[in-house]
Amino acid sequence: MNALTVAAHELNGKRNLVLGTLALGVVLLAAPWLPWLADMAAPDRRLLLALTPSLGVALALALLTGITMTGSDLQERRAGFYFARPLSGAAIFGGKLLGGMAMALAAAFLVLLPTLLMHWRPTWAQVPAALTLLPITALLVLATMALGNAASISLRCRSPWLLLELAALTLAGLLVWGALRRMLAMGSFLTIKWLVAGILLGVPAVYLAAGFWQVSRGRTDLRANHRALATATATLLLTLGLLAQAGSLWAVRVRPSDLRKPGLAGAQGAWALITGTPRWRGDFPTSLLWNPGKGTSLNLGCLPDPLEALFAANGQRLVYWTPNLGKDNAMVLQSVDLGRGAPTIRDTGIRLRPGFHPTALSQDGRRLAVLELQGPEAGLRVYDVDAGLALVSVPMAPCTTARLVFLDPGRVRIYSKATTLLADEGDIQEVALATRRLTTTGRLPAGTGLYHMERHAGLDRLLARLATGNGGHRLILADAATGAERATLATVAPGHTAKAAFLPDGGVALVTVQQMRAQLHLLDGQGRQEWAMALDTPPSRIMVLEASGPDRLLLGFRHLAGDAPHALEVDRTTRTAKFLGVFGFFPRLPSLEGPFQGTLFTRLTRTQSGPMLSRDMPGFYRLPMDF
Amino acid sequence: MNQTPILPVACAGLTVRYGRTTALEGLTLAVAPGQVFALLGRNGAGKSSLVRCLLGYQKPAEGSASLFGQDSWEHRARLMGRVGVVPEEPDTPPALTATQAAAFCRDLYPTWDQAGVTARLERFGVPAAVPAGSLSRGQKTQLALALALGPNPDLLILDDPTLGLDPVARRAFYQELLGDLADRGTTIFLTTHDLAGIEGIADRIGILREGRLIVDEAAETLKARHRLIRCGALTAAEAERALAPLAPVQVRTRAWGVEAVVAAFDEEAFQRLRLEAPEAEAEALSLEDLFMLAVATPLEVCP
Amino acid sequence: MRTILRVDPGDAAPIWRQIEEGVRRLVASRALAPGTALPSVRDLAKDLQVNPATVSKAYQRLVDAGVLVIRRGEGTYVSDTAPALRGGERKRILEEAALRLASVALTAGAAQRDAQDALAQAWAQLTQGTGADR
Repeated sequence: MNALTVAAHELNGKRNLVLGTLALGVVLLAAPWLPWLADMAAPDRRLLLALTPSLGVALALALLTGITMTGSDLQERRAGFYFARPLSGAAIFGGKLLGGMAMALAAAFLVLLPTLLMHWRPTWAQVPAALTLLPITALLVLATMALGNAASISLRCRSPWLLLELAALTLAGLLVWGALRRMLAMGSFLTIKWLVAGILLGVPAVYLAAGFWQVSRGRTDLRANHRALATATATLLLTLGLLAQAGSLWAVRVRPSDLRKPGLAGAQGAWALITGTPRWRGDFPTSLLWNPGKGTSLNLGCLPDPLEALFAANGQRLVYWTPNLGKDNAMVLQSVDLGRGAPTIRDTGIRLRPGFHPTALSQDGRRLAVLELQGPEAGLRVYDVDAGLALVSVPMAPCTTARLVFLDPGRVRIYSKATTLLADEGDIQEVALATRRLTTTGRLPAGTGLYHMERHAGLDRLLARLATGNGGHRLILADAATGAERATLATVAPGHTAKAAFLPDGGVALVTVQQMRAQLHLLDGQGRQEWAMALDTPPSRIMVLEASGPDRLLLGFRHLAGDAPHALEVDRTTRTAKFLGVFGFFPRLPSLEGPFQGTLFTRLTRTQSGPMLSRDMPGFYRLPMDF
Repeated sequence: MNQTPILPVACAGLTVRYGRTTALEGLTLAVAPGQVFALLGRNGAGKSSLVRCLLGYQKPAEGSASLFGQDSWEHRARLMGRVGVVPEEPDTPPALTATQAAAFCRDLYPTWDQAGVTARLERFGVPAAVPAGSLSRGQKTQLALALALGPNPDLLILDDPTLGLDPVARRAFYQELLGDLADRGTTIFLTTHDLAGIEGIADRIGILREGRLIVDEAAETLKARHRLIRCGALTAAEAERALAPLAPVQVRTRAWGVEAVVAAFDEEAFQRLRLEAPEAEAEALSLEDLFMLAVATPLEVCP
Repeated sequence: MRTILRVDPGDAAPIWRQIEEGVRRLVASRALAPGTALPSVRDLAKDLQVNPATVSKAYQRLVDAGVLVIRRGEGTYVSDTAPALRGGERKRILEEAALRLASVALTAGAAQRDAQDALAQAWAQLTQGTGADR
């Protein structure tokens, strides 16, 4: 093909230059005797030593070729030599590229050759890895030539088209920068690598394509060449910038249906917070605020801990922490108002040092309580979320862990435990925000698992799980303010499970699994049994116990043998249990209002994948897929 | 079989603009196969723009330039296989020797005649192994001509090929050209300032003035119908009346009488003139004279 | 063959006619004897620095008029039977030339006798040793 003729002709013309690089290669052999290279003289380092000048020579020749390939012919009015021949513009430019590339690679090889012959004894495994250097170098050489050519034309011609080039570069750069920032803000750190790779490959490709266009349209006139080059690069760079923007928009515009294996981190009112890994966007997980009723969603980005996000009980607000990507590592509180219209994210300005902090949001969503567990600043701080200001700061004794709850916008209850080797005691305290007074209202029973506690607001009762000395545990009903035990619901031997849950009407549902049988007990608010029924399940652990409607209960069991978990639905009125099926996941939708309570539960998807439940995060379940 | 022959060179309404200036305006011309067409014009008249359009180096603003019936801009690469080009300034890369240049071209044209090229270079003493940058101007031109004639082209396009050549080199150039013309009947399109040199060679003359083709005529008829007529003993008015049937284009009064250039010379009409002015003489005009007539503005011609 | 065949750019006659008439003149004056080879179209064109097509046209006309003959594979030769000019044509040529001579002589201020002497001298010069008729 004609391009090869041009390439051969170019290479022939610079033959001596290429052969000259062999001399450099020979000089490198003398490395041990050169004082400033002596430390690289060890045989295994010799090859490495030779690679740098080899690559340097290749790039230097590539740059030289790029600067002269079309520029010098045009400036000295010699382009006609090629254009008076039966050569297409593509053959001319392509041929010069090929010739320049052959030259650069040949020179690089010649620099390396003496060292290769003297010092390289590769194993068979090493050869393919070494050969991958060739295409990488070739691409670098091509990129250098393309960029060199563009720079050379622009600088030789210096026509007003240069302004177009600079403007397009700036605009494209801004578009790419904006795209990067958008993805960084959403925490799509891994997808960014695709964007960066795209830019690194795309920009040289732009200049390469523009070079072909330049030669085909500009032909023998320098100014026409510059115009063609400038318009081509401007168009392509802007396209690249727009693609970057579009790509970043796509990367952050995640819908619930894009999530692979989504999990529910929380729900309130009409909104749910779900977390999952979006398809095709790399491996970063993202959290979405989702309104299944309207079908709308808002991408909150990659939250460090979605379970720490808090919904206001009135369903009008969600708050969560994001890391401050700045000099300090503080966590920043973001607030999303869910009332009217489309929800938007607002930076409240409230900052916190990183670390574990028990938090609670008031029912109206306007106050946030944060507990600093240890250190000189140990104590409770309450913030006004709307204003972003700290309202109250009450010092307290350090503790190991705690849970907070707003009794009303003016009162915060703190359940805290200071666990030592000898004692495992807990306090129940209250802070009145108006007076800033801290009062102790009671003590937690010894062995209480703080994060297995469930509180019923209406009854002011607690369901607690106490560890007994022998490895088993007890489920009790206790007073929420004083911690006094009211009733023992179940005593569970080691290796068995039991689970209790408050029902909407104040009663308690209890499931115990003894030996091979599971039993469901319905108790009243005092813990007295109203009725019980046996459940026909294989040996398993009870994992989920939920009210899925006013009269229905959802039970989820996991087989001890490791088979897929299964779900049952119990109708309280008819006192019958219905087997829902074997599932990969368990649904949990607490407090979801409207027609969806229970509806989503029925749209379960059967999968072959194993159970997704994590024992350490009882609140973290997976949502069905078909929505 | 009466086919319209495909014209080796044809322009139709060719218009070239650079910004606000118009280099060529609505130019239409045609060159028949085997013809030698010489395009004349002052510097800046638009000759180079025309050549660039013909060679497909430049796209016209309006109209078309075509070689062998195909648009030059669109089909340049293919057309150049049949066209030999000698540019105004030698453009062989300075580092390339004649041998290397010929080797490069040889691979591009299926009809390349290397023996002919070598013979031509030897004939004119162009050393084969000297880089083109070190050759004299004449040698560079000969090299360019040798490379242009190498593929036995159907059309030769020469842009002021003898510019800067000494008389010996110029003569050698024309000799080579005529030899090729005699052997193969190549169509030739050339622009030049060497009016004397091409006087006998050109079949057809074109004259460009400020972007327009003001003359496009066979050399023979151009010369046949123009004369410089001198007649004494006539006043200017009488002369004009007498000369009218001969279409005078320039009348000057001299001390001895009237000198006029006529554009429609006719032997019979001239004889009738001689009845009134027996000493009237008619002299032929050289190509240079004709050129001056066509392009020189009145102010630039010495009275 | 270096001839006295010349093409004059100052002459209004077309080049092919100048060549044609030049050859005719040379043939008529026996400067080109019958059977002499003429230069090839190529060579003559190069010598005169004129378009070979023009030379070719002149040669063709001369061949058609019987002044020259083409021998295939060998070239162009003066034909053995060089025709004389037709009477009327010869007369016209002579009259034209005579008019020019008279005009030149009168302008130079010479008398008719001087012109006649010059004519006789020129005749003698051209026909010297060729045995042409009166």
